[in-house]
Amino acid sequence: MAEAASDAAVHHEEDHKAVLDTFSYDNRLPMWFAWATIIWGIVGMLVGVIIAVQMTGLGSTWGPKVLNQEWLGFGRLRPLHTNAVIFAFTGNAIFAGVYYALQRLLKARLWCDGLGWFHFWGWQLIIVAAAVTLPLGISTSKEYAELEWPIDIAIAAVWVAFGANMIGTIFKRRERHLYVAIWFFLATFLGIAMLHIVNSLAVPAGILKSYSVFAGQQDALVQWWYGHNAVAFFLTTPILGLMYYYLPKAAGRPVFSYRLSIVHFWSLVFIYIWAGPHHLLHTSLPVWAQAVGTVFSIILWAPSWGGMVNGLLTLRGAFDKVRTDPVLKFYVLSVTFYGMSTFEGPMMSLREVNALTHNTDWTIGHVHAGALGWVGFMCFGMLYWMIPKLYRTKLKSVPMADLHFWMASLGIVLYVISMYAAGAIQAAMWFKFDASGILAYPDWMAILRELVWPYIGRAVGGLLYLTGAVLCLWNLIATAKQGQPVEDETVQAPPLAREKPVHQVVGEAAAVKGNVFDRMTAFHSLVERWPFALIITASISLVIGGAFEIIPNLVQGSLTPRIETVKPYTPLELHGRDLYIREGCNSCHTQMVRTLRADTARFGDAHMGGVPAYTRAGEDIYDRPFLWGSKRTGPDLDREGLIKNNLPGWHYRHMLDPQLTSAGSIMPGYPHLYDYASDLSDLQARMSTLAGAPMYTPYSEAEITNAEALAAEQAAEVAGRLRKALSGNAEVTVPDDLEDKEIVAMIAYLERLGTDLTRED
Amino acid sequence: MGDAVSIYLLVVAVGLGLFAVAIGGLVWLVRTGQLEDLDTPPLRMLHDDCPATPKESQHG
Repeated sequence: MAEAASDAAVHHEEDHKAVLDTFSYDNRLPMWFAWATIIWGIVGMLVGVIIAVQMTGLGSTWGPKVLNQEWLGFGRLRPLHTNAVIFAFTGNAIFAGVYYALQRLLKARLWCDGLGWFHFWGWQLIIVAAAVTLPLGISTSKEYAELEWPIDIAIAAVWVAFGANMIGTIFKRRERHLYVAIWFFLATFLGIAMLHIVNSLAVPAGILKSYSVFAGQQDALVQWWYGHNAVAFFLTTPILGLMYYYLPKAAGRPVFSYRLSIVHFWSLVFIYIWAGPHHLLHTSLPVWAQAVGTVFSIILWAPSWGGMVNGLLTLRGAFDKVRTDPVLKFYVLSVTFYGMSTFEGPMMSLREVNALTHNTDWTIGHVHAGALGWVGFMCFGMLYWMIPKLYRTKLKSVPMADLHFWMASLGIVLYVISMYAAGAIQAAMWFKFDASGILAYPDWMAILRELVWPYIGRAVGGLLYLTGAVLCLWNLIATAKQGQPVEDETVQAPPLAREKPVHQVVGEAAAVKGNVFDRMTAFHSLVERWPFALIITASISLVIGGAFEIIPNLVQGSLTPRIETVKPYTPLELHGRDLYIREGCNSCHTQMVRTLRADTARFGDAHMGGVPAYTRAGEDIYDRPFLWGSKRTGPDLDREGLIKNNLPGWHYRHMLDPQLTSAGSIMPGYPHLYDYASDLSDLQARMSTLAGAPMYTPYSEAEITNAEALAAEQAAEVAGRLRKALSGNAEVTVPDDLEDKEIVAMIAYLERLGTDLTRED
Repeated sequence: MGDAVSIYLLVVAVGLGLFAVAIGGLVWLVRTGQLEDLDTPPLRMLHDDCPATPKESQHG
């Protein structure tokens, strides 16, 4: 009896073995991405702390001026910070998290190891390229899309490798059901591919310079359609995918409501894409378009909170674990910040609220609540969970992780409250009119001086957060050292009942006899069999079709200036504008006087000969890219030419050392503009790019051929005026070859700003 | 055609492209029965994989 029973058991086991596939998960790729996450994270946060300290006045109101190195300027480092934390820190975390979770959810090894390593090294090279080019001032100036065109192409290629590897793995999966996290990952791939390609459409004017095919208001719309949806598809959907995998895993219980997670996914996918115009309220964008942005932003609140509740309630009955498990601590706070940010966002999209918060540091507080709280904490929690698993050990130090948690939490609170304070101060003072209806604080410096303490608070908060990240790195290294890396994890799972191989199905469809209609039906049913073929084909054709249909219209639209007096920039002004972009002036100065009295009264009404000073769409039709900006640490510059034309020499003194004209300014000096001669060798190439398809800026042949001579002529005129204005001024010295210097081109551009609308000729 | 309208067509066209992709995905989800069982997937994802014995790993 006993023998028979054991015999049966053996047979049973053999049957069981026969139906199981044995295969391995690739753990090396998520491992490497995880290390890249924490290392780049520390780099990106360090740059953030450096620029936060600059904002307290380092190098301008205190500390050695020698720190005013050209490549350390705030305008150049700010894009480095934002790109590093978004694409390097968060990006690598997403890839680590996706590659680890995807294999396990699908019970399959990644489709292609080689593609995975192409993705890894490609992405790291892109990050290094960004870290080199941005401090050198090679930038498109479009926020979170500053990288120049060769890097943009590399991003597209690597991104496609990421998507192909995901989709390939889905094809060879052993689990029929696609868990909801995978849908979030797929939406990330598709969304970012589309946004990146459209927003990066530009014509090269050299190996490291390009001009956006969109101009002015159009460029602004495309940019913020991209900017907002980068938040949606890079900082929200992939992080939600991570949440729906790693939070249940760490809590050891299923997501509170799987149905709610599916509703959450679809509502985000359908709603997010229309909310972008809330970045452009009170601008020259048509009001109906602004309203669309506001309405969809408010609708977004509901599904976002559905997701937050779903995440938090996943811990139902396990909340006690939060006390002891640092991973859950990070997740709980992360999801809480998701809720907070997705409430605050819709509120900030209301016109009345937005009038007050837009361009102020409140917005900076909002994005950091999302980035440090929601995204950062989800990534740290994931690393603390994943690294011990990948090295088959336990986290080295739980108290150290707890310390990280509390330091980072305190850092966020300090950071965000400081920025709320700064934003409230800015709004209160910008919008304050006295009893007779005159601006109560016309002096910009009086407002800026009030921000010193909030800026110090922000720097301290950021430093705390950075220190926490360093503790995290130490803890993860110590954890890895005490464990053994499991590079290929061998597992077993039953195979998925295979469908017929592709060639057989195609053969059968081709063999269908009958009329044309029957044959077409046979092939159409093939497309339906492979949903991804359908999805990819449909999206590619829609995007390409849409673009080709619309771009000629765009060009036509911008051919005819709708304001008669608005003309393209002169060669020298164009060069000055490119320098303005190189220095990242748009990081702190807007060029958008909104349709608000607080804006028009402060930024130009008095100089406009009776018409209100708000920015008209028709004024920006030659602006490639647009330079509206999004943060107003310094004053708006859209009417700069009109406002400063009575103060000859002001700009020269201001950019040499801002303290000479504006005591207490936190703007760095730009002495290198006074040392470097303008490089006009490629000016003709830049102008003919702008004059060519599809932009057709109305530069004549003669203007392009004589670009350098025309620039020299205008430079001599500007330099002559500057010499006259500054003669006898003991504060500054004027070089003999002033007309050749970059500062002259910059001043020529600034003097042009805002003058077209009211000029007589 | 004015600037504002034409750029809207581009953004709306691309937005609708994503919309169409999403609809296609949703239809596929429903038709392939992905949404029929919404109870066991959240439980199954919690299970760790059964590790293979070293001998069997040669097949992998």
